[in-house]
Amino acid sequence: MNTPAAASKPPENDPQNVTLEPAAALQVADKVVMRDLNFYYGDFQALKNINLSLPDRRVTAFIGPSGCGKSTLLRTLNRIYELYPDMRVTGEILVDGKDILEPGLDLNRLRAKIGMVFQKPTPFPMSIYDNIAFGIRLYEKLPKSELDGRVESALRRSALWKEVKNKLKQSGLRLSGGQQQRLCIARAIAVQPEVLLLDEPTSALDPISTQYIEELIAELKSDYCIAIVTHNMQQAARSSDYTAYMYLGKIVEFGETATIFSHPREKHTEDYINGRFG
Amino acid sequence: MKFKTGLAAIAGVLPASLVAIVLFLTVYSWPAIRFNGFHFLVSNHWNLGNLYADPVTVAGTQVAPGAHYGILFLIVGTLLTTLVALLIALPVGVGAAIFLAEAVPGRLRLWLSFLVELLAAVPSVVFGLWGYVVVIPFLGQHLFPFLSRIFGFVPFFAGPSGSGYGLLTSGFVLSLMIVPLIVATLRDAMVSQPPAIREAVTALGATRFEVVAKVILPSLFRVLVGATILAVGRALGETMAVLMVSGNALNYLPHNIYAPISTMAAFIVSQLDSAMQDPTGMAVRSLAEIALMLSLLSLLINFLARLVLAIENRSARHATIV
Repeated sequence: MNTPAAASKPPENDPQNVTLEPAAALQVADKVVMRDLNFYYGDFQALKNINLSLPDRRVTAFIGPSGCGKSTLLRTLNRIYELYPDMRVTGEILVDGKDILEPGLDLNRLRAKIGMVFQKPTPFPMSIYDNIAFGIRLYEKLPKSELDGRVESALRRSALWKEVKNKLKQSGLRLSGGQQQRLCIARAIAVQPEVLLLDEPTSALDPISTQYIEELIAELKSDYCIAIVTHNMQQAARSSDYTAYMYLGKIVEFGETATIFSHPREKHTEDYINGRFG
Repeated sequence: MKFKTGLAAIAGVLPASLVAIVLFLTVYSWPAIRFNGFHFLVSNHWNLGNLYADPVTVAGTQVAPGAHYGILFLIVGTLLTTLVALLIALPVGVGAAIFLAEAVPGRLRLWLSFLVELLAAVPSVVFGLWGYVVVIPFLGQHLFPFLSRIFGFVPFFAGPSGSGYGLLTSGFVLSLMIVPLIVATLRDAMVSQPPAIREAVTALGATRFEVVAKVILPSLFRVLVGATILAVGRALGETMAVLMVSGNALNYLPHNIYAPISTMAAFIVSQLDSAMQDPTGMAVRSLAEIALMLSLLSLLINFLARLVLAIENRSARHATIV
């Protein structure tokens, strides 16, 4: 699917990876820890015994062929799968040491803390301003001026402010695809989450918009624990600090992105990265 | 080529028959249109005149002596029953649609939806008879006196509660007939919302109620408007059921919501027999003029419905109309 170029050109001169010196890597704390995580769609087991940690203030990429369970894994982290019947999960997901799979947990609070951006841009049918303010209003009663400030800062952080500042009252549906996706990212960070889940955020976008979003991810990782699912090998290589390669519901290999892309431990990983299947 | 011509002919019959009906009504009622003038719409006085005396000539046309045709009370009655029906049907219909789309699991939803839509298949004369036998005695003897006493401070709720025939009863019976339209349209649109939007709203920490109330319903506003306009079209033209429960008021504007009224459609039926006795034919032609006005009103409403649906279709990003 993707070119083998990613492997032949290891991302050593990539600014993303310069920051990942061993010393810095050591200081990284784990924000999310998955223990013995299994997930079932009815009788089908989509995740098998996942043990993995997402470091805080770093980007972790999930790669693997379609159906390998990478999106499913992301969707367990905010329990969005519970919108649908016949889904079951076992194991533990610790966020800051607290198991979010416990029954009785306030799901809506959890989701306010763990933001998610989806494959297809999903602007709500309302103004740009209201799109951003929507999530804030769910949990906070802010005076107008403060709300304005939060909306503006979210739009600035998602590099959309310059383009929309004069048309905040216009419908979010009238933005271009790339702008809509940045709007969705702005909407997610406006509620000040701690974890950001990106489920193939650029797969529906053109290269320029993709580049914007990747720059944005690099910006945002100083504040968030970011997990990104992608089909785009170069994107994983460019934007992430750690990479998990998944196959048939299992984590085949996990490690620093530079290592995974230049010297993968598993033959299977290498084959996938080099585009021999998938 | 022959096949295509045949299809074109068959398809052409339909619009042609619509044009033919409007054209016929216009031509047939033309003498009445000229005789009644604009007064027809603003006068509150309908009188067939003395049908047994010799016709007199007024402005070059022969009419029964004393004949005067004004239908303001019919226009008011038609619009008010439709309004009352909508005020009842909209909240009930929206509520039922939300319940069916959100709270009822798949298989049961199919059955319940089927039952609701079956309501639309009940012939209107059955609604009318039921209204006559069951609804009117109950409303007239129990509910209306109660409403009049308790809600007397609300405008149009005070005053004599009447016999049960009238505006509120007509509106109530009509609302049952239009509710399935609203439920079916809205429920279909809700069920066919892309899951992506629901997921996105939920992922922000919104509760199920917030998802529906703040995003799904607002995004279906246009669908609701479309369904409402179609329902209005139905309510405006409903004849039989209204005829049986409205009280058939003549030359009388309702003073409260219990008062007897009559509608354009029901009035044509109730007056046709008497109007046939007019040897000059002006009475029947005036009834035809009512029919023409009603058709134009319905066409206008239908046109608006198409317009709304077309706009909805063009921006159909978050709502699908089936």
